[in-house]
Amino acid sequence: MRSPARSLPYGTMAGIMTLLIAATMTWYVCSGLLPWEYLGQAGTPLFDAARVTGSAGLMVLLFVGTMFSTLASANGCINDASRAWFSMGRDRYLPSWFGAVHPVYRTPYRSIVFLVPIALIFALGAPLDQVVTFSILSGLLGYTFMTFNMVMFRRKWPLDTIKRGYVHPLHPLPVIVLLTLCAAAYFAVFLGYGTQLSAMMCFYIVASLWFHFRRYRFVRRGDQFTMPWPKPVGY
Amino acid sequence: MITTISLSAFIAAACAWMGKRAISDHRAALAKRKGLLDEAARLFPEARISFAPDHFPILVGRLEDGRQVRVELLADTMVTRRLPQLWLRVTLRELRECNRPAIGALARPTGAEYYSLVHDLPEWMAPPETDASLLMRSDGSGTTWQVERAAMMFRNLFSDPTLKEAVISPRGTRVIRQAAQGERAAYLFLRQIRFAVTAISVDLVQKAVSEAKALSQVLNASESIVAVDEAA
Repeated sequence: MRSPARSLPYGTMAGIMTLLIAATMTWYVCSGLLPWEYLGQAGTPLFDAARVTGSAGLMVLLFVGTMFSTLASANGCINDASRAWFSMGRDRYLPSWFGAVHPVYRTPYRSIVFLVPIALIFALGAPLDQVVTFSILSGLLGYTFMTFNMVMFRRKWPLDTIKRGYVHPLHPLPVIVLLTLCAAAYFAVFLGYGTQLSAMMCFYIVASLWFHFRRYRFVRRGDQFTMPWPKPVGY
Repeated sequence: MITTISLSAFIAAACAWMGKRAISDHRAALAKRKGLLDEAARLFPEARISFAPDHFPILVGRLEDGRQVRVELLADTMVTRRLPQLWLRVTLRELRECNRPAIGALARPTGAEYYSLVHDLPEWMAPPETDASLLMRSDGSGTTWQVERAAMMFRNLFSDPTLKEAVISPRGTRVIRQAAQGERAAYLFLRQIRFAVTAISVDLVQKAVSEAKALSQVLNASESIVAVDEAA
């Protein structure tokens, strides 16, 4: 990255603005065409809204858009997720069996073969809104951990102890804002999807306990830490 | 009804066309891989070219002193959010096992380098200061002098950001360099691996071989300083 100090805020803001504008336009148009009570329950709300317009061109456009978004999701499920498992297998966070590379295709074939059926079960066997909720809640959990990580990172390596490409401004204000937003999102999710939220928390707590008491002894600790930094404060 | 039939026919035709195109593209890509090291083969008398299971060529030749050089190409798509990389791997095999430790360095490690020898070495060491993050490991048998000499060599070599790995072992040395980077659009859109190279440059192979030779000498010298610049 040529200039993290410029690229990071620019990329973050551009991403947020794109998402906000696109999402607001979608909600505005769809809720103008169909009652929100229907949209909230529909499996294919965008396509249903397009059908109401009676425009064949719009329906075809949405079909093509759906195909592209499906391809993007398939890329994520098949290529990126399998590589994440491959890396975790090599670092022993998961069984090293997942760290194998196919001799011909040079792909993490065991991870792909293992994850594709799981992706298919989620895609075909589970209700769409439940899957999406689970996915979004997992992302929300990631953002929540980010707040604690940012505080710990700044405490372990205070300013001027390492060379930083980007310094988070007004620390810890962004952390507090993010944590407040996460808390508000959890509360809103609890009101509508309390069961899913509880199920997700149970899943991650069980997975964390398994990792802490069983898996962590196999992890090659320190292998991932390769930055030429001084020892963190307190160590 | 007609709309449904038309749409089904269109989808079937599109799938057939995409399948045919994918197969022909794949075959063309495999055929293109085979000639990548043809020009580099001129560097070595009696060079032999064979093919790996992924259809990339493997060039085996000998230096003037009889040591074997093996030149390979590896496609790496294991790191997410990074373009596919084509690595050039040069292995120099000594005539007989040398009395020296196994010690190596890997630039910008992610843990996903399945082709790396450094990850298999048991002892973690403090790397020399470079612009890139560096993982340096050894088998633990090296003396302080040997470690310092190797670190000095690595510091010079890794000032070039296209160098990925350098390893010294009793049986030989190894250098891994970037040979090409995948095409951005093909990767971002469908995660395809396309390298816009028709031949690996002779200069690149020559440079990697020179570096392997320099690594081979760096722990053999006693007091005389091996000019690390000769590797560049």
